[in-house]
Amino acid sequence: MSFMPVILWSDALVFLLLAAGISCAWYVRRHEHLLLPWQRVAQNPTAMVSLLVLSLFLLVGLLDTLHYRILLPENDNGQKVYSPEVLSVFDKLLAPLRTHTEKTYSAPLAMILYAKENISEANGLVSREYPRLRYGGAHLSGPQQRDGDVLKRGLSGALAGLLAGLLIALAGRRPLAGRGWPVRPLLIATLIISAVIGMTAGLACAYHVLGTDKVGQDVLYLSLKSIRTGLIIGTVTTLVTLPLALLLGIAAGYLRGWVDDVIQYIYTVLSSIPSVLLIAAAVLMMQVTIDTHPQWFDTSASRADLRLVFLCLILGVTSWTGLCRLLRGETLKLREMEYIQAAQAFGVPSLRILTRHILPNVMHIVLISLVMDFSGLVLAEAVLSYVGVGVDPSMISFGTMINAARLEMGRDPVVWWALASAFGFMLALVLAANLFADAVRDAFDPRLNHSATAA
Amino acid sequence: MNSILSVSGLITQLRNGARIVDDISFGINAGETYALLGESGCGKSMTALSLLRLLPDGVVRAGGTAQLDGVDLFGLRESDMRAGRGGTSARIFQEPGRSLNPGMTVGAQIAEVLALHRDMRGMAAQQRCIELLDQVGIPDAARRVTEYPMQLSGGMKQRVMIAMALAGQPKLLVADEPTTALDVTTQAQVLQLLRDTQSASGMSILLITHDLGVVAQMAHQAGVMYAGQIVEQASRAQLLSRPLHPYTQKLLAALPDANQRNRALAAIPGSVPALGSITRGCRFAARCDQAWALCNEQTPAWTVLSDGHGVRCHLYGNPGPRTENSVLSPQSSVLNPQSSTVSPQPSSLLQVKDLRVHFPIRKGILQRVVGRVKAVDGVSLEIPQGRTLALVGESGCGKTTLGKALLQLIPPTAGSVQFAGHELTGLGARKLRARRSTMQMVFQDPYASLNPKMRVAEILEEGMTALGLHGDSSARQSLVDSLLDQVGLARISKWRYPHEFSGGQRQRIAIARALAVSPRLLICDEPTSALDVSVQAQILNLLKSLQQELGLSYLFITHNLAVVEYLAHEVCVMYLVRIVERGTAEEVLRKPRHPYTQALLSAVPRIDGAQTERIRLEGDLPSPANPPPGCHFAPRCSHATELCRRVYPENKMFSSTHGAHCHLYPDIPD
Repeated sequence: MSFMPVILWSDALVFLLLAAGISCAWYVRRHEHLLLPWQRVAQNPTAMVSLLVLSLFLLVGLLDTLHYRILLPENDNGQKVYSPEVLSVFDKLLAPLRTHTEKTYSAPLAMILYAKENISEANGLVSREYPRLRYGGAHLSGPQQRDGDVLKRGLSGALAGLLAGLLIALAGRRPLAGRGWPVRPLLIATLIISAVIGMTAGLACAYHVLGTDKVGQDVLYLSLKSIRTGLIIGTVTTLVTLPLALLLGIAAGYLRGWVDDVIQYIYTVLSSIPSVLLIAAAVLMMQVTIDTHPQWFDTSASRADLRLVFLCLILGVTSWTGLCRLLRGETLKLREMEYIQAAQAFGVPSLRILTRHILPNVMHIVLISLVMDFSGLVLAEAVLSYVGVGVDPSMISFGTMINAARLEMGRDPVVWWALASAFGFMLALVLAANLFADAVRDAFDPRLNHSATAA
Repeated sequence: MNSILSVSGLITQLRNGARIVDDISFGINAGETYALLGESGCGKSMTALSLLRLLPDGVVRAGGTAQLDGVDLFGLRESDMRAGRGGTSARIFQEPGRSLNPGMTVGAQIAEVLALHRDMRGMAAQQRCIELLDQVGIPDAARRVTEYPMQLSGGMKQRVMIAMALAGQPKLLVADEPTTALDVTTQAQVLQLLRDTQSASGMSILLITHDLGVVAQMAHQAGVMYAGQIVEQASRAQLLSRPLHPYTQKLLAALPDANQRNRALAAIPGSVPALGSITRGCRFAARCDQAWALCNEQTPAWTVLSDGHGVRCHLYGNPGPRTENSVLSPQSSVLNPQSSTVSPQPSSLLQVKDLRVHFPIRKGILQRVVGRVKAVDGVSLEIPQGRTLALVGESGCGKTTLGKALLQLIPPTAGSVQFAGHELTGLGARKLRARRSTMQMVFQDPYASLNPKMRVAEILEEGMTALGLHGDSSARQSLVDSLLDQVGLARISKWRYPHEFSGGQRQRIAIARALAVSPRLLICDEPTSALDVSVQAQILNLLKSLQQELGLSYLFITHNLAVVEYLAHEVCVMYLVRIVERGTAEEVLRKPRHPYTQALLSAVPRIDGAQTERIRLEGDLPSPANPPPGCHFAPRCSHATELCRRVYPENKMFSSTHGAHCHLYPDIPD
């Protein structure tokens, strides 16, 4: 084998989440009353377009999760030796973007560096000029050709994308139309998105579409790589919050008495500690542990990854209290419902009442708050990395991008593109997630459904 | 008589065109009460909201005119309309607890109306507030104006609502189910107040209600609404003595009472059709046993008979192929003769002795017990096999707590509960589970008693699984089928979810769930109070026939005395955590001895007009945390003596079965 698949901790968790998600979807499909609110979501144009955008992000994140190490040509006494660099399928697909690094900053679609350098010419004269980029626009002979070339490549890329989008739309149209899905908005969104992707792809072959950063890495590549980090923070954290919040919230609400008191004290105390302080302390402690045990990690990627997983864990530990409080309140209400008392009259054991009667009836709250929390967590990562207690500095994330770009904001002429692209990508992700969350909340809110069916 | 409100051709519909109120016309004379009668979902409230122009989002008025005191309501600008609301027309709501602002004092809320409509402020307004509260019969009005709604009882809040409505000196009062949320004695007080106010101020009342008894007491004219239309309109006397429309006839026949004890009630099959689902033909045709082909094809026109009695039915006025079966024929089948004549073996199934349920009041950091709320205090009762014991009482008297304590859902503080000779109190969870199947409960609200996330089959199976009854899953499935047959639901419905059923059907499912573990005693906690009259009759019929088939015993907890008369063999009357009178249904309801029972019975609005002299009960139920010393009823009793206020009376027996706790009767030596 010319490569060795690597499963990092975060990869394993993502696969776990994926499996859980798929099995949930399969379960929901077979239960009509569970399917009903999702059908309402599916009929909401905003929700479906947001979902389309979200699923593109998800696709990028998933491709970026399939990690491997390639086999190195030299071998060590017949032992296979693999590269210490952990790559992903996504890296492989975007190999040109990853490997075409320049010397330092260059503006979007530029063909010259952003800083003047001393260039010694053949005749021995040294002049100070903007040097040509190694890759960006290298095929052009002069700067006057650039605009025309950009236009040509952009248009042809957009056209190709549009064509591909049209094919997808035609294929998808028939199955969608039968289910009352909003076909037209989806169609338009597909066309726009595929045109944008096509144009970007067309340009990215020859230029750095979003410029390069301080060490000459392509910013588009960095932004795309950041997506996985953001998604992991937003989703894996819920793996920690969910069991804590569900178990403690429902137990407190149903069992009452001293159990309720203890759980309430725990979350009241926890939510009174400033969370940034708690996270900073935990991350720094963990950093020391990682630094003193280098033998635990065979690659630097796995070290950075462990820190990411830990960050999720810590974020999870500090953010379960809100959901827990909500669930406790709802359970307090539910336990007085007559169907719970009917079950008690049958002598149904408490555990069974919790799983059969209470859990299914609080799931809508869990779902709504998870989707709502997602965007908050993505933003929290950016803030924490900016402060320096977020992900490992070697890990590409929106936070580290912003952190690196902030110093250059004071520079004249300003280097704006790193910050702008991090901003743009994060906005697209969080906005799509928020719009989707809104639609989900509306679909699961019984009061809104009433007026929707009545009106 | 000039008419103060005249409505003609009122149409209110949803934005998608489904009509909620379909072409309604009526008029109200000055100083009279017009009652809109109908079951839930018939469009009664929407009619009132249309007239006040307060329709919710998504509902619009699509046609018709309404004139209030000569002013066209629908031609007014919104600002003028706002001046009219509370001024010329006022409204009181069903739920007095929710219609007062909990953050404002009672006085401030009334003063707000006075400032808006009477331009009265300061001391004058304060003075007027006290007058108004006095007028609606609130004792110690000067103190009450400074109190908050939470310090008042339900009946007091409704009085405050009425005072607020009166503050604007309206010509028309719209009363939307004003007494539905109140107890029967409080209802009697509020209805009396409304009548008194009407005769004093000469205002007209548009009364919206589902209760024929209230109509019989209050209305001068009445309109019966069904599925958005007025199907019959007449004076009270005409309507009650000679109802024309089959729906009205059925509604009257569906009322349970003692005369029908040995018959099934005339239940109306099915339920009210969904709004806008029927556009052609008579809306009642599907549930009417006098319908013929024309009824499904042509919408019946409004026919006014010579005596002013209006009806919307093909049976009248239409010279079509009127068949002979249109003659009024009570279709109620006669049930098997009750076992009441043949006395069953007197072995009692359930024996409760001196049951007490006390809840501790805890205070302070250490949660020390500083007092006790006595929710049930020394109750003893017996239910023989195959009999129905009705437990009657107003809300807050502890009857529901008693039911739950019998099931050991709430652990009793003291006393014994013996079921078929086995003591139930103090059993561990495991031993109790073995006895669970013998006693089950049917709850009040069919919308809250079924888990919305479980299918009917799962709901019915739950008890069997928990108690390990009836073998394997295929045996259980066939039992589920037969249970559904038993309660009159289609077998196919076991794969459906509760939200697909109507209230009556849900209550059938709840009964089937209880029957699934073959209990011998069913505790029915107000099983019909959340249902419409016609559906109530269906459920009562079902319960009665189940009793005959399976020999079930019922403990029927209710506040509805008509249901008691129809169903119960024995009656216990509960007042403030204790049973004050017990006896056979005949004895208690015909010859009540305890003054509370007498008051309770006289407060029930009767439709036959055979109104006995009303015994007015003053005040409200005292708090169970601090019951009065001596007889609990003494502070409200007109016969109370010094003895009553000091000593709780012993049980006096009037016959072998009939007894009451009252000092009025001399000790009868055994």
